[in-house]
Amino acid sequence: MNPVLRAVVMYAFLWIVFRISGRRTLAEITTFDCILLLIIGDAAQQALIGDDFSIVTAAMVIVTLVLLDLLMGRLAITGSTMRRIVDSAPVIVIEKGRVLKDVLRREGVDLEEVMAAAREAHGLQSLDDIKYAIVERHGGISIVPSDDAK
Amino acid sequence: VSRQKKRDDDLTIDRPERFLQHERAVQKAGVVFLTVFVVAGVAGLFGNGPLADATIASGGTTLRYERFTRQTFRTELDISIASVNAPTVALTLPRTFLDRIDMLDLRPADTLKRMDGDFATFEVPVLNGAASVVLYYEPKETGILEADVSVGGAPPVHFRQFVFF
Repeated sequence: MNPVLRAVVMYAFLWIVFRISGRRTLAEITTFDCILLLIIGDAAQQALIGDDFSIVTAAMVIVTLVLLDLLMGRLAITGSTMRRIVDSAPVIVIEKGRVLKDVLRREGVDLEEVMAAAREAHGLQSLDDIKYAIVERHGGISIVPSDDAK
Repeated sequence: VSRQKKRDDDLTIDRPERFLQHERAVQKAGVVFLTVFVVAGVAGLFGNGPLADATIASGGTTLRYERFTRQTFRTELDISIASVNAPTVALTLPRTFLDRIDMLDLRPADTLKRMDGDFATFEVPVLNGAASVVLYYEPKETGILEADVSVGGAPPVHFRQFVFF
């Protein structure tokens, strides 16, 4: 298969797999995630270029991937619907100090992670100090401290 | 998709509940699909597994091959011929088949004797009334790869495999 087509197929495949697996999959890189990324990169690389190690093929694959990424970025800013399809949407998991347990579970986040984010970002110690906790599009957790905690 | 935007004190955030519900449904279906994909791969739907192994026997000729395989993946066609009363047996494969593969190995070696027009003829030595030849090859193209294998004067045995990219 043509390397450009290979790049398009692999980009689409990886996008679909990571979109399905949810935003939390690789948001916080553990040692094992790092190893997993390397293995995925290696498997994808072999599928992308096969046994053709020429500079031209490598250049075509790289340019195709970069252009596809630019295209996805462009698509994401064409409207809110497209943005959500490409990058999902932020989700509130703590609202005015109330933990939304169902939402937490659906997003694959536990309260410990939220509290860790609260400690790291604002030095907050308890749930009462959190006004909002939001799982962002990229999988990170944003914390808005309560008025008392500010 | 809900376009509802909610302003809670100082937090302005898009809360597309319907979109998120749809997204979760798609993700669940996607996880099922990916699981089926992996199970199918283990079972051999894309080659190299029990679902892929195929055997055709006709007369004294038996073909063993993979009904599913992949482009540039090493596969084999094992042809066994039983009940032969001669020192060698001739078998033919169509040239169209050989043109669509990269032949990597042939056992026993030196059995490919000639290419006559549209056919390649192999002469296989017979041992204890039976003969066997194995072609190791990589398909060059995706899609259906098929051929008629003719042994002596017997009716040809047709085999077909699907080649994934």
